[in-house]
Amino acid sequence: MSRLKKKICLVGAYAVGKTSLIRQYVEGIFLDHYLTTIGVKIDQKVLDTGDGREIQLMIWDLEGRDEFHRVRREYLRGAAGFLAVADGTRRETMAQVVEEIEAIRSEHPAMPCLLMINKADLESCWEVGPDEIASLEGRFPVLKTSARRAMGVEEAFRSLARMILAGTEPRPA
Amino acid sequence: MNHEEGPPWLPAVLEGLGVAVLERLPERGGYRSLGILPDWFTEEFGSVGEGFPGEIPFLQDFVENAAEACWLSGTRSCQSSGLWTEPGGGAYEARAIAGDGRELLTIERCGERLLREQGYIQRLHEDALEKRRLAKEVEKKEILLDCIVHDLSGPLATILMNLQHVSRQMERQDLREGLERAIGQAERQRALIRCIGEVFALDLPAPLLSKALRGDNDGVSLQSLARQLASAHEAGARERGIMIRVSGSDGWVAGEPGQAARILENLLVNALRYSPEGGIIEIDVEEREDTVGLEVRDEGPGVPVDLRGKLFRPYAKSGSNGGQAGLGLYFCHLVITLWGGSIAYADRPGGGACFRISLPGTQPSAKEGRP
Repeated sequence: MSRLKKKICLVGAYAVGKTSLIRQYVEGIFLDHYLTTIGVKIDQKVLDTGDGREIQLMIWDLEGRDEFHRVRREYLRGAAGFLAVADGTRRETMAQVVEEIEAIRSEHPAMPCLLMINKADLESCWEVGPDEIASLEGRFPVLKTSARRAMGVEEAFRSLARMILAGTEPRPA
Repeated sequence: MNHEEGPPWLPAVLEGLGVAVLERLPERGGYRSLGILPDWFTEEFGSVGEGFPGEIPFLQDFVENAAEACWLSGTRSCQSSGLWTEPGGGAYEARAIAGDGRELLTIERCGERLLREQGYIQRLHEDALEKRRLAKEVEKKEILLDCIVHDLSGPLATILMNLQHVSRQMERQDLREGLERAIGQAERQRALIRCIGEVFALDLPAPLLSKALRGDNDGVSLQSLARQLASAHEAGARERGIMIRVSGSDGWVAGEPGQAARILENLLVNALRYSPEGGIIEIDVEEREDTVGLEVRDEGPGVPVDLRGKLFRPYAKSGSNGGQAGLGLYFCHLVITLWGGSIAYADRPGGGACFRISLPGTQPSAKEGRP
């Protein structure tokens, strides 16, 4: 079985759940305690694409954006794709991550990306409405996820891997 | 290490610092270490032989991009990778250094630095999240309060309008008096609802408060207000044999008359509630150098000792105050504090309660003039 090695990055504001999503995806666990990421945290997981190929995903968990610190976009160099993460319970993280997506795409127009709106287990407390999500779905793939409940996590990484393998991002429905 | 590679003491310094210093060898490919590699490096990254740093994805990425740009710059320069954490949990920082035709790569273990920075940033993030949560909580409560005030006030307006209409058509004096009492109670209820709304609004920063709640108004005479209120409550007091006496000086203070009246009314109604039949309520106003003092004294049982410490906090009430919300004294405290004054409780000599307020004094407004 052939194995490709691909670098992917996770970007988004602080405390949206990037590290928890990776931990859920790689180790299948969720820790309730918030521990902020400093710099870059590297993880890896081999993904069976189901067509006789394997992808070794090198997952770069980038320090979350806050008022003092912006994402170091040079870390995106060499990435095959990226997952942008927002927290549905914090409206401002959506605007920040959409701005981040646009900025990354201006430097890497062909780089596949997927927006994860995390904390779907708290959907009743979301500050992001269906209309807003629908308007974003016309621009890039969007998935509701929950690191706590393992909802949509595997699907998000698989979808990005498929886009990377396809070489092009599928047209949004 | 020969002379060309640096002074003889350099290996000892590098070993002491615990930093791995490597030199890239473009002509041969690969790297060589300058000095002895620290133990942690060989344990965690192995050797720097062929293939290095292929098994360390972050470092490989750094070497191929940022470090390469630094080395090719042709000038003396240094480029940091920033902190990174390996899957095993080790934290590191790499630096590419170019100079004198050499391409150097240093790698430093940064576990302690990571923990230090993490602790600091984490506190900032947690504080910001908590601040956001509290702001949301306040916003929700304000919306809920607006709804409650609105829903309670709506039916009252209709009740008042209809009572007033019936009262105007009513010819029997005794029935009309009954209606007037009902109107009076409904108006008091409306004032109470407004008071509850304003008590919560008082938590806003001073610049956001309505002018009525700030202290920069024309001013008001406390004695004049006290006489008006005593007169308004005279009939009810007389039915219970209670006498209300107002004495002292004019006592001009820099407050809005409507709010000042509500402060005095709260204190007077409180005294009436606890006064025994045949008791005396005294309201005394005293002008001091820059302040005006006012005392409301009654001959009731006084405030229980266990209630005194929280008397001016919201919802403070004893078991015997007839289902009152416990916001009246809190309202007094908030407004008086906003106006730069103070309110306190003391036992009345000879038995009973004595509420003392002190407010900054002012001159009578030109509009009002001294009576």
